[in-house]
Amino acid sequence: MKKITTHSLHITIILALSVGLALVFNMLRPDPLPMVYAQESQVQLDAQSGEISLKDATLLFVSQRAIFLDARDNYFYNQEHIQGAFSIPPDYFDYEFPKISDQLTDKILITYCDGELCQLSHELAEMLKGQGLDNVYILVNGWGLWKNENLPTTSGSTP
Amino acid sequence: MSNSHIHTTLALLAQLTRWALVTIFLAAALPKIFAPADFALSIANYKIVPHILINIIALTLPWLELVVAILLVCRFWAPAVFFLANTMLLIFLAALVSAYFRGLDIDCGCFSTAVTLTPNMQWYMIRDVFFLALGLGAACLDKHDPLA
Repeated sequence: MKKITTHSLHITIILALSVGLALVFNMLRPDPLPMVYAQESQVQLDAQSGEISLKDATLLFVSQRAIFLDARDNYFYNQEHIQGAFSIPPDYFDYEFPKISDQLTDKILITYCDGELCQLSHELAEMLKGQGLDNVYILVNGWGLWKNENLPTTSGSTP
Repeated sequence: MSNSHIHTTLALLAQLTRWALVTIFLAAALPKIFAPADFALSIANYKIVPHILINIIALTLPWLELVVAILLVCRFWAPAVFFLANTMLLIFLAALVSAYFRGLDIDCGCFSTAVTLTPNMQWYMIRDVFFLALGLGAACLDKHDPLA
């Protein structure tokens, strides 16, 4: 009986020592592992096509992981745009981009315009990539789809 | 064969199995200590452990393997250490068998956290049975170890 107690004590000490070492070593790591495992995101980003679906864009909008960039003309942006979206028509890229470039790093960027055949969002995406931003996705016919689902919008010249 | 020959052979076997166990646990612990995120993914792939425990296991299990290996080298608290070593080997084997019968074709995450394109579950299981036999052998032969 005494032997079993002694062995159990040794096992407990070994387990405690291992847990302690693991936690200390993890704290000292430059990229410590969080205590709770994060499941892979359900959002599917296809880097090859560079396009994003409305469902995924909405999920990123709600979780505030994405910044929406409106490629349409200023006139249409002022009338109504996706809530929080910045206005960057490709023709005014050189003027508008420096104003907001600080806010675009480490975020997923979603460009949109109006209509299936609208090329402005594609042009804007290429210009952003030209500035070294990799996380750029196009929501094809974004404005039409967004409005169709009654998702949050706002009007005026500010996001 | 004389008694002294038997004694010498058993002592040699005890040392050999103990050092083999040390090698196995060191080889298993070190890569995982330095890549806990990848090991967490390996654990998640087994679909056994609740999500809340995956990272905690990924952090602590390799250290337990390392501590067990070091204690085996010193032959310190041998019964407790052999018990822990064999319990770990048994759990690893059970996890592999469970994954195999659930049709999972995954990396075992035993000695490396790198992704294998063609994981061979049957080979992993045979290897773990061998390791467990080695561990049990080492525990049984321990009383013949010259350090005992």
